[in-house]
Amino acid sequence: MTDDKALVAQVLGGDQQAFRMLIKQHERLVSHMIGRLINKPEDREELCQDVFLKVYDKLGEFTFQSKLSTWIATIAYRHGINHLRKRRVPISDLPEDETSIERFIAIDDASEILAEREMDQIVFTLIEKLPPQYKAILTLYHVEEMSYPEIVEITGLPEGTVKNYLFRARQLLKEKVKQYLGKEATL
Amino acid sequence: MTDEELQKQTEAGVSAQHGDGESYRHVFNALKKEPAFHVSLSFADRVLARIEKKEEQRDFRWLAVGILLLVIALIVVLALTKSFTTGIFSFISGYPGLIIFGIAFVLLLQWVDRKLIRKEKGLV
Repeated sequence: MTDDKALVAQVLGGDQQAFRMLIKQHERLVSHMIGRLINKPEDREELCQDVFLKVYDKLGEFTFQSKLSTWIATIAYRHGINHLRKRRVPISDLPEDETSIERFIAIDDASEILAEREMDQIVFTLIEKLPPQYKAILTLYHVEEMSYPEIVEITGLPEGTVKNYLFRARQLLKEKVKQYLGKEATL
Repeated sequence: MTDEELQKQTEAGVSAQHGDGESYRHVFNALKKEPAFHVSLSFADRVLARIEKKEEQRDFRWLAVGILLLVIALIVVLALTKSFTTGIFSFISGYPGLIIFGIAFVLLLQWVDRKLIRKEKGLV
């Protein structure tokens, strides 16, 4: 936190090299968040740049109520979600009806999956198909190793919803992997 | 065992080698790994270039606003006083050296600001 304060003070003092350092420290976090939320590869880099432009503009408003990384992740998350909303991409939830869930876990794209031999790649492909909020929560929890209160702050969702999305996303991924493993065993 | 219990066990590093436990183990292992997308090596340079461009545009906008206000003020003064004469300009023609020095001084200040002060702060 002290380092963050010193870095922010330097940036606000007009030191652009300090801002370069801030970018270097947080570009991984922002690229993970935007990379998971946005499926179109050509949009990702520019959106990451937009996030840091916002960080630069709003840094004077940062009050150190949270970690700098949490604040930057919040900006990245909201920027990504707003981008998807403008393109009318459904972001909130998996459809509640059983058929939609069954469609997700059904092996209707077995050839696509069988072509990808590595299990990690299979799971990555499945994550791509999840709604954006699920993807964001999975990334914040598993890749960034953030706590529930931090994820709540970033996403603005209640803690119960965060836990529920995390549970359901893992469960859906597990069902799909189980089907793949079953299929593989019969080959 | 329920899915909730299996997820807790797998997260704690205890997972079965068969059935749902095995599937969860694969899922948790993959979830820990970084997504494939990474920004380019020149990412920070590109962000800083966009900030610089934005600030230049902002400076230019303020300059344009200043000139516009000056022109409006001049028009208002002329309209109120109803006295458009070349008197003020005849004053300028009497001191060409002073006027040239003034303009050169302002330009020099701009140059020093851009080349030395802003560069030192890393703004250019």
